[in-house]
Amino acid sequence: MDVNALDQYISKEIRKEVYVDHIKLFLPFYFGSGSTEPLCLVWDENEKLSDCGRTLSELEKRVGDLAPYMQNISNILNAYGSVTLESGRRFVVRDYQTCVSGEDEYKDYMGGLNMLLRVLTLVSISDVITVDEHGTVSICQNR
Amino acid sequence: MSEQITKQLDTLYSPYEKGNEIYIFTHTYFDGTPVNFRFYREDNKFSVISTDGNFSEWMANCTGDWKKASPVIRSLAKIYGASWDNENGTLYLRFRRNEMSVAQAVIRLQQAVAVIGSLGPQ
Repeated sequence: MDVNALDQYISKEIRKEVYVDHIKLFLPFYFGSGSTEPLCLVWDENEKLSDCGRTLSELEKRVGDLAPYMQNISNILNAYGSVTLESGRRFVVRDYQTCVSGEDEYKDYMGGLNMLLRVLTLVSISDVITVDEHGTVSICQNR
Repeated sequence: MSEQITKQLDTLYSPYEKGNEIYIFTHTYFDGTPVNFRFYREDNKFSVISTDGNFSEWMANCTGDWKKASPVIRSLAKIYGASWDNENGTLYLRFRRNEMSVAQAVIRLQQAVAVIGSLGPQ
């Protein structure tokens, strides 16, 4: 397989929809809940990137009560400061690092996306791992 | 809507050639060092996506001894259908092409990297 063919294969499932006031990105994210619906991440007109509440919904499907995992989730958010929890349900990135390339300056939107995906990944298995306040992961002792 | 976001999205999970091999750009960084994935076809049925040497170096640093950490690494990798090469310090996902798409494999390996790359000394 060559690079072009591989690019086409990947593009079929990693798709974006660009609108006047928002951009959607669809990813085949693994939640472990049995759901096959792609994760839809949305940038709004203020460039705020959100998971629209999907991650906590999927975790809730698997574990029921989220209360035992909130300290873990709080530690994850402390370690990944660029990601916040909005209204107790939506993981959000608002601020992005500025990169400099020659005379050009631009915001690193993909860096922000990557941080969000890391947080969503850790949150989605909060019943399996323990995360300390520095973001260091260990396996839950009762596993 | 931001042209810069759309332009950067075009580079997300984009494949590129390095020597005679194909890699996939993941926008994953550990302390500023990029971690990208190598893709190759093993045979007519299986394809493999694996982490690169930068991830091996990261794992050596973050765990202190990845061989000692290997039981934990393997347990976490299994969640995403990934495997751990203890000799080379590589995470990889070997998949049948009619059972998992390349995109699914890339995302799953990226998720495994996010978790396992956050391990501390064992």
